[in-house]
Amino acid sequence: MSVSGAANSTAPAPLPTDGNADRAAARSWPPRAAGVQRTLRREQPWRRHLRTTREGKAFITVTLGVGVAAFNTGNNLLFLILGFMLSLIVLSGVMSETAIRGVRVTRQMPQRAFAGTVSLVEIVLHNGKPRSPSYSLEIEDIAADAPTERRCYFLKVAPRTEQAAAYRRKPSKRGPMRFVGFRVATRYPFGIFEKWRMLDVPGELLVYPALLDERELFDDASVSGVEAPTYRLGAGSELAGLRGYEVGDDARAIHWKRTASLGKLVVVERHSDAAAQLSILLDNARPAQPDAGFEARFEHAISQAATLAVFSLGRGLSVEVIARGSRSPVVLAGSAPDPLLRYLALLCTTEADATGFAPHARTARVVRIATGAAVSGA
Amino acid sequence: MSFSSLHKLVAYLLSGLGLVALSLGTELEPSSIVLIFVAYFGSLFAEGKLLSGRYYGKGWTAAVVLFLLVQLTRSLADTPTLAMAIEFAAFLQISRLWNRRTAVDYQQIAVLSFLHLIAATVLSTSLTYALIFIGFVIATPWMLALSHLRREIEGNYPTASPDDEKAQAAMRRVLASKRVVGASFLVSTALLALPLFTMTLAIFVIVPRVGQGFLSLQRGEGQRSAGFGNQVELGGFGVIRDDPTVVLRVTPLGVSPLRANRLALRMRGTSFDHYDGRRWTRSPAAVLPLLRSDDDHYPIRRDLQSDQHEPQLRILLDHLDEPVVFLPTGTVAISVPPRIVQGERIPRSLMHGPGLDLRYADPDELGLMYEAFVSHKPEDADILPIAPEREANYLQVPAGHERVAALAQRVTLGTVGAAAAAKKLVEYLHSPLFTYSLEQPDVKGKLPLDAFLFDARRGHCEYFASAMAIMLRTLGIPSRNVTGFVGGSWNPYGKYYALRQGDAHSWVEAYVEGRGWVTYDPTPSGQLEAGPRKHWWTDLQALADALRTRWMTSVVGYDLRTQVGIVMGVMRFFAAHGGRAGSASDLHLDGGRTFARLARTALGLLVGLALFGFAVWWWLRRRDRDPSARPLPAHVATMVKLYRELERALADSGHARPASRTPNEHLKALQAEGFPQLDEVREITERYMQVRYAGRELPPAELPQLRAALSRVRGAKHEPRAQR
Repeated sequence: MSVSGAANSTAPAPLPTDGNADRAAARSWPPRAAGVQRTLRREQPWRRHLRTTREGKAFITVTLGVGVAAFNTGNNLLFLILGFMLSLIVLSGVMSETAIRGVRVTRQMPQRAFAGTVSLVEIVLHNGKPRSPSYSLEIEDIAADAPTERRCYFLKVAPRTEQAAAYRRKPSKRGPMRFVGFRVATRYPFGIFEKWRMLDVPGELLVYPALLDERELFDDASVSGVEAPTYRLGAGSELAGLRGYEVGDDARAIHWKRTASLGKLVVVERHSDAAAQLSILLDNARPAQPDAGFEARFEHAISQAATLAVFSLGRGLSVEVIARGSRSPVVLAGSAPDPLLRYLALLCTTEADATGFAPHARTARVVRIATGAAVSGA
Repeated sequence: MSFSSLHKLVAYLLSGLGLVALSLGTELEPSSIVLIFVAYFGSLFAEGKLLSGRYYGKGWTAAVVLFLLVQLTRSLADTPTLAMAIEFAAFLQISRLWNRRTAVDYQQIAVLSFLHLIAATVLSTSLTYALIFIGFVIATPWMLALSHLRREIEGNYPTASPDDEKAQAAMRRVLASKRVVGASFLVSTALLALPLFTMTLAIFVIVPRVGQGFLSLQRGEGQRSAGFGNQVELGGFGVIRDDPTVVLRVTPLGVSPLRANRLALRMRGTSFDHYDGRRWTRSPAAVLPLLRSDDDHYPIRRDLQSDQHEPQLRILLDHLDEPVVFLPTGTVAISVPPRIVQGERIPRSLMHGPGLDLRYADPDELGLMYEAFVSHKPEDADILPIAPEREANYLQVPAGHERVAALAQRVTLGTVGAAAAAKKLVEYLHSPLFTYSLEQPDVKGKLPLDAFLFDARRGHCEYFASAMAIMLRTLGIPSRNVTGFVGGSWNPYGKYYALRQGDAHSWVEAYVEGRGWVTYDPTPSGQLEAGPRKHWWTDLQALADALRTRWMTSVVGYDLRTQVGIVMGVMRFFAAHGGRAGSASDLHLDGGRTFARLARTALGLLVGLALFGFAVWWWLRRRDRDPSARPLPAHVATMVKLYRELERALADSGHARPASRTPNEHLKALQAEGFPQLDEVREITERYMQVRYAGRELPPAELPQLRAALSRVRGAKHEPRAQR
C-alpha cells in the first residue's frame, strides 16, 4: 500500500531555480557549488542536520513562556504542560529520525539533456525498513555548479517498497553536470523542525549545447552553403520508392504485398547510405586578449554547430565537426547525433596560434563557424 | 476513513477537550457552556460550499471583532474579566471550527486547544483536568502529525491559483484517500502516548520547584460544608447527609488496628458555645496563633518530642470554604509540613480559638495534609480548668427552655456528678422514645428543642446534640455543641479511610471535673456507622477518589520538599546498598536551610545546564556552517544585491515574489499580470540567473544599464496595474 509521491510533474512548469537558491547566500543551505562536495565528503552516515521551522520557533517560544509561567507561579499543572511540550520536542526528534533512516535513493538520468532545455530526472526512493513507513520525505538532488531545482516530495512510502518521482532540471550551461548526492529531509511529524541527512550518491550528466531554432541558421546569409543533400539510389535503409521488377534485381528487394495487389513483380528502391558529408569547422581559437563578449559568442557558435549538425543529419548528410586540434567522429546520415553533441559539449577554446584545423574530406561540404557568429559556407 | 475525515475527527476531539477544560472552573455560566457546545456540534455540519461563501469568512471575522467589543464592554461593567476572557477564547475556537478549510485553519484549532489547556490550569485542579490532560497526550500527536501532513499536501499541490483545477483535483484526491493514514497510523501514534507520558512525568518530577509564586491565581472556591462557620442553624446537616463527596482521607500509620471496612472515626472540627434557641454561634474571643514546638510540630494538649512519638494518623483534608483543622479524638499534637516558597520552608500558620477551634491559613487553596499524634492515656487528657470569663458561656441557656430543664432534672434524678448525669441523658436520648430522622421536626412556631423533645421526638444529630447540651447546661454542667465528621469507609485503592460530606455530624462535649472535656454522642449510633448506601458504583467511586487523591498529592501538591524527599530516598538507597549503611542515617533535612541550599543548587544546576546546552548548540551551529558560505565573489554579490533591490521595488508595487515562486516563475507571473516594466524585470532576472548560477561574468559596463532598468521599475510602482 503506497501513495505516489507528488513530484513536480504535477506542479506548474518548474524553473531552473526554486527561489531558495538566492536565499542560500544568507543561509547555510543549500551549499553552493564549491562547497557541496566538501560538505558531502565529510558527511557521515549518522550525521543529522536540524533547522527550526517557523512553526517550531513559535512552539519553542510558547514552551519557554509556559516554563517561565510555571517557575513564576509554581503551578504544577503548568509544569506538567511544560513537561508535555518538551516531550513533544523529543518525540518529534525520534519520529523524524524514523522517517529518514533506512531509506535509499537512486537517480535515473535523462538520455539527453540540452543546456537551457528542461529534462526530467527520475528519483527512486526505497524504504528498506521492515515495518515502519516513511512519511513526508523531501528529496533534493544536489548538483555541483548548478542551483537547486525543485524537490521531490513523497507523502508516504510503505515499508519495503519504493516509489519514483521525477523533477525537471534545466541545465544552464553545456558540459558535464556533476551530481553529488541527495538531501533527504523531513518536517514530520509535527513540522517543528526540519531534519535532514545527506546521501552520497555521485552521478554525472553530460549536458549538450543548447540547440537554436533552425530558421535562425538559414536566415543567416552566411549559411547559404548548407543545402539539402542530393539523394542517390543504392543499398541503404531509407525508402526511395517502388518500381517494376527488372532482370538482375535482388529478389530480397521484392515488395511482396504490392506485388500481390498489382499482379506483377514490384521492387523497393532505397537511398544509398553513402550520402554527402558535411564538415563543420568550428573556430575555437581564443584571442590573446578576449573581449567581454567572447565567452558568450563562443557558446553561441557551439550552439550553432550543434544545431547545424542535428539538422544536417536529419536530412541525410554525414556530419563531422572539426575544431582546432581535434575533430569529432563522422556520424553517418540518419544516425543519432550524440557523438557530435558529446564532442561539442566538451569542446574548449584553445590558443589562437597553437594549432590549425585538422584536414577535412575533399568531397565534403564545409561550413565554417567562427567565434563571433560568423558562419560561412565553403 | 479518508484523510480529511480523520483529520476532522481528531480536530474535534482535541478542540472538544480544550473547550471542556475551559468549562471546568466556575467562571462560565451554564448557559454559556450550553451555547458553546451547541455551536461546537453545529460546526460539524459546516462543509463545502458554505465555507467558500463570498461573505462567509468576512462575516466571521466581523463577528469575532464584534464579540471582542461586547466582551470588553461587559468587563467594564460588573461582569468578571476572567469569565469574559474565557468566553472570548471559546468563541475564537468556535469561529475556527466554523471556518476550517485549509491546514492553517486546523493548525489554529490545535493551537487554540492547547492554549485552552494552559488557561485551564488556573481554573481547576480537579481530576477531570487530569483526564483531559491524558486526552491531550493521546490526541495531540495525532492532530499535529495530521495537520503537518495536510500542510505538506497543500504545499506540494499548489493552490495559490484556485483556477488550477488540475492541482485542486489532485489535492482533493489525496485528501480523500484512505491509504495515506489508516488504523496502523492511529495505533502507532497512540502508542507513542506511552513514552510521551513517561517523558512528561519524568520531566515533571525532575524540574526543580523553585517557583517564585508572584502570579499565583486563585483556584476557585472550596467545597461548601455546613457546620463549621460562625453559626449553625438547626437543620443544616440534613441536606448533606447523602452527599458522597469525600472531604477527609485518614491513613493509619504504622501498626494500627484500623482496617475495618467501615469505622466511626470521630474527626472533631469546631465547637459552639452560644445558643439562642434556634442557632448555635461562637462567643467573640481572641484568636491566637498555635505555637510550634519545632519546625513541624504543633502541640494541642502538650508538647511532644518527635523522636519519642510516631504519628498514628495521616490526614488529607480537602480545601473547604471553612479552613478548619479536624482532629481525631485524643489528639495531643499534630505535625503539619511547611509550605515551600522560593525554596524556603514556610511553616504553616495555625490559629487557635476558644473551644479548640483550630484553623489554618490556606493561601494555595489546596487543603491541608497533616499527621496526628493520638493518645488515650489519662495523663494526656485536657484537664486544664475552664477560664473563669468563659465558664458562663458554656452554661448559657436561652429563655423559654423551662420544659427542657424540667425534663433534664427528671431524667437525671438520683444521679451524682456531671459524668453520671451526662451518661443518663445519653441513655435517655438513645432510648426508643427517639428516632433518628433526616426529616425536620414540624416546629409550628415552637422552639425547635421543645418540638423535638416533646412532640416529634425524631430528628437528626443537631437536635440530639443541642438537646443534650442545653439539658446539661440546665443542670449546671458546662457543655458545648461540637461539629465534625464521624465515619470512614476503607478505600482499598488508596489505602485510607474516606470521610464524606455526608459523614458530617454534631455531638456534645461536657466538662467533667478531673477529666476535662469529655465527648458524648447522644445521636443513636447505628445511624452513624451505616455509611452511604452501597451501590454498584461504590467501588468505582472509591477508585475515582483514590485517583483524585493521588492526583492532588502527587501532582497538584508536588513540591520541592517531595523532590528532596525523593533525592534523599535515592541517596539513602545507594548509601544502604553501597556498604555505607551508617551514613544513611546522617541524611536528614536540617530545616529550612537545607531546602534553601538545595533549591539554590538545583537552580544553579538548571542555569548551568542551560548555559552548557547553549554552548553546545553554538558549537554545533559553527561546526555545521557550510564551508562554502564564504563571501560571494564581488560581481555575484553585486548582482544578488541588485536583484534584491528589484524584489523590494516589486514588493512596493504590490508584486512581491512569494517564497514558493522562483525568479523565472515570478517573471512569467508578472507577464501574465501585464506588468508594464516587464522587459526591465526580465533583463535583470536573466542576468541574475546567469551571473548567480551559470558562472557568467558581470561586466562593470553593464551595471549602469541594469541600474537604469531598476530605476524604471521603481518609477513604475505607482502606476496602475494593467488589466489582464
